[in-house]
Amino acid sequence: MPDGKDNETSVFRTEEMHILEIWDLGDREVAPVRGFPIIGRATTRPSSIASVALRVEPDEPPTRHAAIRGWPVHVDPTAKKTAAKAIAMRLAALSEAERR
Amino acid sequence: MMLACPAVAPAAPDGTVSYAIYDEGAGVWDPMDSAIDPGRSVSVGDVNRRVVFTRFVAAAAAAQHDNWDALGSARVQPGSFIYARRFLNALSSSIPMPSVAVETDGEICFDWHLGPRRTVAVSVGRDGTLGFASLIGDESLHGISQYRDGVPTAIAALLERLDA
Repeated sequence: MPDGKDNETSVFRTEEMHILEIWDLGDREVAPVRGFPIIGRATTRPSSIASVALRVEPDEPPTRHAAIRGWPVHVDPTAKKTAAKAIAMRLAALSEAERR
Repeated sequence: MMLACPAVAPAAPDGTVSYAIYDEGAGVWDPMDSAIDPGRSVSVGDVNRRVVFTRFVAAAAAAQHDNWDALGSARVQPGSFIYARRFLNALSSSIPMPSVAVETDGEICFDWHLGPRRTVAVSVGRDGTLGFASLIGDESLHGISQYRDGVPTAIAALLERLDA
């Protein structure tokens, strides 16, 4: 789901990274910002993101950071949220999730 | 591509929980009051409902103040809690019980996730607005209903398909 403040989803490009490097990246760049430990991750491909009519764009710094953009914009917050959830469900079905 | 998923939802403690939730505008309201009709015989569905209800109360109690997650999220409103309780009680015992969480906008969300393509989510707003989204097979749906005296037809149909 997109962040309510900027309607974007923060992600990192992890191609060619070892799995331990990916967890470390989350611990260094995400957990301190959010204030919560990383408990899982989901991996998907840019083609999957495009298939649900979203786009992913580089958004550095930090290194490898990117943003998923193009989430629905709607005046009614409930309509906006339900539309975004439906897209997020489709994207989740095209992704691989792993608990730590 | 990696999407990091920090734990932002309040963790529901194990075991029975009984909280009174307070709101400045609505006074004291007891979430345990008449939650389950004691006159009914108890089925497996009712037992599951009690478990979900306990988690529901715990999640709402942990989110009764603004910024409950230290990320600026809104608190649960009494109206959301009351309508969510009614919605939960109105669910058929034959339907799998959902997981429950408080969302960043303070709405209470019931999630059925039986698989990547067998998933339904219903968010309960303070005025009984039910925002729903689903992915069942290749069919993706979303919409808005209003809670009145039972689970709205559109949502009930999705839940029946989910369990088929």
